[in-house]
Amino acid sequence: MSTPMLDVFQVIADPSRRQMMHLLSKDSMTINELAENFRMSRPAVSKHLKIMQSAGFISIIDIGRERHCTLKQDGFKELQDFISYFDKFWTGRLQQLERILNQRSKK
Amino acid sequence: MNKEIIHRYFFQQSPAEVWDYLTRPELLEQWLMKTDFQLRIGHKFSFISKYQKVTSCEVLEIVPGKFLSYSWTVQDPDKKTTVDSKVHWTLSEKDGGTELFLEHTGFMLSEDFTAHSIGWANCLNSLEKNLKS
Repeated sequence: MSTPMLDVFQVIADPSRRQMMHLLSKDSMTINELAENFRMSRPAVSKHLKIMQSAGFISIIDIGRERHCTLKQDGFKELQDFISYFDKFWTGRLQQLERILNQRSKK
Repeated sequence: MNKEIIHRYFFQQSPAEVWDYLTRPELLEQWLMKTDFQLRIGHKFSFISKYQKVTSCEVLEIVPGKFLSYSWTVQDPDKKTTVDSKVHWTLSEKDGGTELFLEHTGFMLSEDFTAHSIGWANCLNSLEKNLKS
């Protein structure tokens, strides 16, 4: 089964995936350890993890018989780029508002 | 991960003056974008950038002179992806001026999203280039 390629917003739109990231933010975990925290089947957990992997949120590394999942920066960076674009946008707009208000006060 | 934008800004002018600049279309146009905003809950309006990029909004909450929030929905040029978010403005009187608190939060994809292959990064890079040029 192929893994659907989702963009970063689709990836984080799913509550289960957000919870998986939250768990992984504390420490790396194996797929089995992660699956213990969810009611869904292990293949379902595995599918979510593959989606997160292809969007760059996690890496999955085989160590012995276990598959270890670790949080990765790339996926977060794309989302962060979008947000930081608006962050800068607002800084610029608010400075413009200040200039206009100050000019008006002088008149 | 930082999923929201927060700005605290101080203006020497009164909250009433700053409020006008947040709610009157002809004043909003001077510092933000061209808009058909109206101070009425449920009013649907747009912000249109110099380069005709459209941001679709709806007024969600009003506390006259103190608080204003609206939805902020951006579509990419081929109209297949939509990012929803919310903008909240809070004004309070401080040291004879106004403290303005801006929160831009809740970045989410719309539910009616249909998958497509163009990466957001590419769309945003071109959007940023357009805005800068």
